[in-house]
Amino acid sequence: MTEPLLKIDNLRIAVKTHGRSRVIIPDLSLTLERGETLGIVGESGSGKTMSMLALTRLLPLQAKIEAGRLNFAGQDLSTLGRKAFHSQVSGKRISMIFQEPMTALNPVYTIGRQLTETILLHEKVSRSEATTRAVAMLEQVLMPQARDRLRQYPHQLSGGQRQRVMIAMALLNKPDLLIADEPTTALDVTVQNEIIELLISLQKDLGMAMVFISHDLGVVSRVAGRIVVMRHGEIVEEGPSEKLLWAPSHPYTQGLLNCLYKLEDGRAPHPAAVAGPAPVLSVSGARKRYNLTSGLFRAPRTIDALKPCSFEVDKGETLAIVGESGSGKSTLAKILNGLLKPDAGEILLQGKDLESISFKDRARIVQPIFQDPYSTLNPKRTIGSIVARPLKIHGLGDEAERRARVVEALRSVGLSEEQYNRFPSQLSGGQRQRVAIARALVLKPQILICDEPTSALDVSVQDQVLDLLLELQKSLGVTLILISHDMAVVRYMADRVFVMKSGEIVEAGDALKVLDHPSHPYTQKLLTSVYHLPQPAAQADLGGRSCL
Amino acid sequence: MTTTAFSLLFPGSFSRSGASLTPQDILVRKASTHTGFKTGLVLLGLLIVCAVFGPMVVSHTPFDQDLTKRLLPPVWVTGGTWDHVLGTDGNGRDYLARILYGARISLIVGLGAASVGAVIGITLGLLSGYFGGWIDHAVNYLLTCQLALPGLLLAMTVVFLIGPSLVVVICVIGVLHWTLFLVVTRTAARKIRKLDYIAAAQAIGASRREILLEDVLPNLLNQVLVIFTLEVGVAILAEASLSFLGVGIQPPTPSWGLLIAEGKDALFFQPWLIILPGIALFLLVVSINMMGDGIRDITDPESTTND
Amino acid sequence: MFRFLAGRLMVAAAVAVTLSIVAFFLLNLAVDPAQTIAGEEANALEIEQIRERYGFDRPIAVRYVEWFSNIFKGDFGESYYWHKPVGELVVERLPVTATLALMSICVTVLIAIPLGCAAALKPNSWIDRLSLSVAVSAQAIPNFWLGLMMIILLAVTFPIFPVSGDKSLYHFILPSFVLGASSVPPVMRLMRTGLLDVMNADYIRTTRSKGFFGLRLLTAHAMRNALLPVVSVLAVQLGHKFGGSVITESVFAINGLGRLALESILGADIPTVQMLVFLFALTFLALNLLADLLNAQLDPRLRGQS
Repeated sequence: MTEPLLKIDNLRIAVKTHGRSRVIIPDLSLTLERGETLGIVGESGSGKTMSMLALTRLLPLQAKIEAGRLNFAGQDLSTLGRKAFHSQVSGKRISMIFQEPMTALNPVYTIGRQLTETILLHEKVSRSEATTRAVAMLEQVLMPQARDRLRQYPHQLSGGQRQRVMIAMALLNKPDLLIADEPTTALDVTVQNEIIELLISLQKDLGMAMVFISHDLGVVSRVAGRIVVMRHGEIVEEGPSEKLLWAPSHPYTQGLLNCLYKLEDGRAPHPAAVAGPAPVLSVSGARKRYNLTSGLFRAPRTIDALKPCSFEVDKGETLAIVGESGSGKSTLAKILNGLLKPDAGEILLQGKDLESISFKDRARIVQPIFQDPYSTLNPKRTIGSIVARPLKIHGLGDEAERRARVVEALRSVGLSEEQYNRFPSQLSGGQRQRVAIARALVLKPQILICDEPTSALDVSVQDQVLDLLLELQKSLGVTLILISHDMAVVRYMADRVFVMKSGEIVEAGDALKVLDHPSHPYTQKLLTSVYHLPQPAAQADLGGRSCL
Repeated sequence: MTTTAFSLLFPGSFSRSGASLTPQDILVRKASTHTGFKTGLVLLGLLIVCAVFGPMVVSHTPFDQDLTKRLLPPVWVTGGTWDHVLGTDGNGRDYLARILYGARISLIVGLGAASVGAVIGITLGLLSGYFGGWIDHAVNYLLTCQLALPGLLLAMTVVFLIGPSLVVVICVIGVLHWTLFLVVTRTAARKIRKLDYIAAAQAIGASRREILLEDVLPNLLNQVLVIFTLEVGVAILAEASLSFLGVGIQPPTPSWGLLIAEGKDALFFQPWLIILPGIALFLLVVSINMMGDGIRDITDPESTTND
Repeated sequence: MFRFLAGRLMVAAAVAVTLSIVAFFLLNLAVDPAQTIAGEEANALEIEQIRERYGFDRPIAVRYVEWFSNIFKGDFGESYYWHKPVGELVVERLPVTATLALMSICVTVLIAIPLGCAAALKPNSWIDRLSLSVAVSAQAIPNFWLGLMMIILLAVTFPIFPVSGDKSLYHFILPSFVLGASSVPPVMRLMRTGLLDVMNADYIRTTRSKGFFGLRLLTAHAMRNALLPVVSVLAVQLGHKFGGSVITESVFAINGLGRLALESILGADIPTVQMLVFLFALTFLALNLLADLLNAQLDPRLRGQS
């Protein structure tokens, strides 16, 4: 039997913070054959990235390898000196690509320079030869206008294009192993799809092994033949993809899958929209245009963030607005919230014109929920004061009454009274998002506009928050407008769906109808780009079990 | 030892643990282990005590002249006496008394001028950072004007023209030192403005004034405090420079800068006249700066030192 | 690129004009020029005669416009104190201050950049603590005191350097050190934080993964980015040296523009003071523009879209 390409034995990594050392990976062992694709799955803090950073000597300063052997192609990498490692292995036999394409390239050098230097560092070839190879590689990664890119700088390229450059840089020297750390997480769904298919085909062409790290089981299931599931620095399960996905043995893996299947198939039972006499929200002809003039002597360039759109939303309904970056969904959300003034158009909240009502009146009708739980709460205020603030601003009740209402609001989102005097830094991401929901609901608004409320949370927590929203909708009768890029979430939550692209609504209709039988080509493209988990044979089993 | 002092003053911070640690607890704990901060704090404390109580304790006043006892050296040099521990100056005045009194001047000017600068800089910074637009352009213009002005020269000119008094010196130094407050406040305000909790505050109906004072300002106070300590040091040295050149505090008030100017001519034979006030200035400013650095490390969420 | 600079140029011009107005009005309103020229013993009649002769009875705005437009003709006014054209006084002393300023920036660069880099590359090591101590100490030492101490130590106790004067370049070494030392703390800290941030940046991680390490990584990739803000600050510091050399020149008895300014202020010599304030402001603005230009050259993001 041929020797595995990569064999990690008993890896142990510790991190030093505030003078104290904490072991984050106690004992990790894994193998990888030549040409194989291994998927490493885990949530944040699972150690999935750290293990691979240790291999490539890219660990942050506070982290140290305390024990273990890293065997690559029969050689123990830890025995190699600095010069030997970097000249023979780094960038030559093992390459790595990272998550954030926007900050991954050196801003002061041209693309051409960054590509050619990768070749020139490891091989003695002429500059023109290196340039030729660079252009060839750019074409291979399907970069449009490859030759022109050489003279451009990173800030002139989009996220997807920068990621292609990163991939090109990583593959220029034809490595034996490519490590891809969440390479598509920061990209739009349609671009994500292209990049992943690109990686798969390049791997086949070059015959290299690949380690694909992600939190997204759907993506990993498409790419990897074998999957390793990590949690708290340990491997909880590993095995061939089909077996793991269809018949996982470890409860944690089972839990992760449950969450995903639930979102993908299970349509949460939620109240039918109560069609009242008048819609709770009515938009007609709202639009927003931005002028991008840089400098004095330039012709004005405009961008239509939102083209004129009109629609109505009924009370108690859940409307999902789907789109990628630049679609206009966030602009629309801000306009509906009253945080951004449209250039034209009329917006009626419960029949009242948004423009003419005061801030305070608006606040009692529509409230937002934001995406990032770590910036949605003022770090200097206690939870109690954050949730009580809307009441205080509107002069509702005295101190004792406000406290009572806050405690009630906290309880309704699943937080105990204990949290009243705590600060946001003492709460987890999921808890913070609950506080944000409590804050939004304490004024008993009619409409909640949720802008990607769960995309920054771990999978295991996501559906808890979504369930909470649905539950609150049932008990309070609020209308939910949900902005998302995640089709599974949309399927789970929505009655109606709007699909947006380049500032306009390209398709609208009943959720299930749009998701199962899309008519607009863009919607179709969007849906096929999403990776679904392969359907398991025994589906009946999952019905009863709760998600993590 | 000082860690014990901290734990006595803030018992809660050291008894709680885990998730019940408030952000304030974490600050107190970090402060109690930061050597730079503690050293600065202790040193500054000592100096303040000297400044406040020193002149009352010493047997001589800073102003009593005794021409028979001119230019006596400090007690550790031959010819010195314990009657005048740090010697006397050219007019027979006790040097220890003068130096202790000078500490009061430095502290008053330092704190006063830094406060003036802070008020101007923070206000402008908040407005231009939060609102942007033409306010930002106008403030930028003001900032460039201020930076281009040769500060020391202008201070000298104004003090010379209006007349040197404590209030004038404080105001002039303060008005010439607001730029750092502005820059830091503006950058922080711009960053904070983009955060979701500001949008949330707008959504719940908070007025702009409320948002500025309750959401933006508290979240940049840490950085402002660090700049404040820096500027106190700068103001102290600026006052010393002005007095040294003769356009600051006037004799017989014993500003340290003035003491050095008066001792300059005796550079070769009575060097202590220059050395001692200089050391005093150094110790005062260094202690304040150490505290400032300490505050920066302690309040920075991603501190890159002390880990 | 030029669009970007045109804007800055306009602001600089506006600032220069504003400051000239400030300087002129401040001085001419606070001090009666006729009185200054006449001297302390003059009586009211003599003062009145002088006022008429020199044209001080005209409205101040008119006098300002005359002064300002004269500058473009090369006439910087005439000093009441030295009875020489201000232009002559300035030209005499400009090379001295310029030399001092440039040498002091060299001192700053030679100390601050290596220290800052070393501290950033090995955070929390002894060199990091040392550099921090140097910064903290240098910030706390009054520069006139440092000058005097240097004289006591290196010119009196161990006579290595001359005590004062500006005859030779050797005379400038001690003053340059003293003047440059005050800029070391901010530049060093900026270098340290800047390089530390860059070394932790994603693109450096990418560069490392390509196989770059050690000195090559530092010089070819990290420093290019880390030096960007440092260059601007150095230009600004150089600009400040011109107005801020008063004390150093005073302590070391150097006949530069700073000393000229001090003596002019003490002598209520309005024409010289207002011209010097304006000149120092212009120098600063010019250096600031130079820094902007350099920045735009080094950082492609500032050059505008293509």
